[in-house]
Amino acid sequence: MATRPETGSLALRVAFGTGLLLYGLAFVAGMTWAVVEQGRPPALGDSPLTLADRAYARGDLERAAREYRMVARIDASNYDTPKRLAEMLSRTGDPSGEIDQFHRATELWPKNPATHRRLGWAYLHNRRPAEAERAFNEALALAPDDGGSLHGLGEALLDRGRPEAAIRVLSAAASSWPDNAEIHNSLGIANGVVGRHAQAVLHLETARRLDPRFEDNLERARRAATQAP
Amino acid sequence: MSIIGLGRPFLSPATDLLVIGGGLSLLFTFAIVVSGGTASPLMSLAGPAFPFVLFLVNMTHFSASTVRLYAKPNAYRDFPFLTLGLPLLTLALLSLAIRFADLVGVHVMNLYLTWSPYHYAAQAYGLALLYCYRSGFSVGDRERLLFRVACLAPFLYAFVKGPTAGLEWFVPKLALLDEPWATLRVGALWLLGGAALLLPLALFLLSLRRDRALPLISLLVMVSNAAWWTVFFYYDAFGWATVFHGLQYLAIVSVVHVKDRVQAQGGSAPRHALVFYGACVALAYLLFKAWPFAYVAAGFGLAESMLLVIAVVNIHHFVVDMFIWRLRRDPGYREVTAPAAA
Repeated sequence: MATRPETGSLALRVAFGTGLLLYGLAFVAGMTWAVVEQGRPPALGDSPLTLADRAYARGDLERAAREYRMVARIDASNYDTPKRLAEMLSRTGDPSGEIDQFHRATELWPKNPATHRRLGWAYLHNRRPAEAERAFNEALALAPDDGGSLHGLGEALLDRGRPEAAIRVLSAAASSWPDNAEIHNSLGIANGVVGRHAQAVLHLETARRLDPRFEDNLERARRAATQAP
Repeated sequence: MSIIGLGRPFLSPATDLLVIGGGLSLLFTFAIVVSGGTASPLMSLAGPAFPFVLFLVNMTHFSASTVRLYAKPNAYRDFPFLTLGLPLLTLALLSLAIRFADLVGVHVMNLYLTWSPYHYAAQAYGLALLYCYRSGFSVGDRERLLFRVACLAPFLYAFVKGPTAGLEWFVPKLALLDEPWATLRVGALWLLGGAALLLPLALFLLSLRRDRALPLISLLVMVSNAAWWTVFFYYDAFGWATVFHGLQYLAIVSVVHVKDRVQAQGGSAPRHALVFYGACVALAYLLFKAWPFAYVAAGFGLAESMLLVIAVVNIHHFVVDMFIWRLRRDPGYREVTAPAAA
């Protein structure tokens, strides 16, 4: 640099020298740690979230959860953190934590339909269909043709004992996402509930064609159809 | 002869308009709006490049103020504490913040996030006035006050909006959800958002009554800052605003630095600019990428080390900028603010 520190009190000059030394040591220590522990120097794309994702991918769930939680605590306005933490909690079987985090994500980014949809599914998986219905409706207000949200809303309505409404919504979901086996499976079940067995079998045949896992449901629907008066 | 003009550029009319004035960011904003927001194909294309652009522009602009501080003629004499004492103090405060991250981490982060829009406002104010002076547009006390209000409106908008920083840092969020505060907050946001976008235009219209209108680059600087905090906020694309702010800063700091260097040492301007940018990139890498791992090596968590380094480097940048851009004290002041010779 252009000038040398020839001015300033002795104390300031000592502080400057000490600072320079400590910064130098810190940079060397940081680079060395990264190379030794990660096998490479720090990458430009490294962030607490990408590194937590990497820990999660390695199966180091404790470390990943610790980093996600700390990011959420310090940088409370970051929308991505609660979403990723919720996804991790979902896979590790912490439903209430998952719902809390998706809730936080919707607060931080209320205009994102995908987050409302994920919150809806989290509620649904935890047998809270009324709250799920509300979350799916929020998602659909932002993205009316979203097949995933229509499917979720249909499931929530079915769980709440409103199969006719569920069939209407699930039919719309099937129109926007015709190759989704789970939607046809749900439509088959909903039609079976209201006694439209022929329709139920039709949808379950489609579901089975798309995904053989639905074979059992199809068999049950066929039996119900033959036993129906 | 038309009284409306771009203003006297530093580099070229197009570069000043697009980079320093923020025209590029307004084009980007427009593209986001017409393509359907952050879920648009444009953002899908731009998204993967974001971390690299963020490093090369935004993170580098933070280190640019430090490089500029130490490269400034007579910096140690003029700013003894800033140059000699602040680095160690910063290191000590960062170490304490990381040690007690559970308690103070969120406050350090909120200080940085709350200060940030004020810093943007101050940069817009300074740049808008700079182009006025360079372009021979005289600014009286009353107009200076109007400039300040116009530039501060986006800061106040961001302060009220939050989330978590600004107002929500001082007042519990639940209290803000009660009536009448919730309605008042929404009203304040409309008022401040409108003021942020319209006051620069009002200033421009007022200036049309004079023999020379407000330079268009000054107007653009204020409008783009307002758009970053209102439109980008709305489209959740604010991360890109930090890139455009950094680009604006890098351009102007390079212009001032290169002028100093050429005057003092001669040589070619592009070479000085490249050396300056190279130093900024290297320092940014050490600060943002290597430094946090030193704390991890010392046994602290990665999240608090990385986040608090970012917050503290930002705050250091805000403090340094408060001093190094006091142009009236700068020997190069006449050089950058003088109107073109007749």
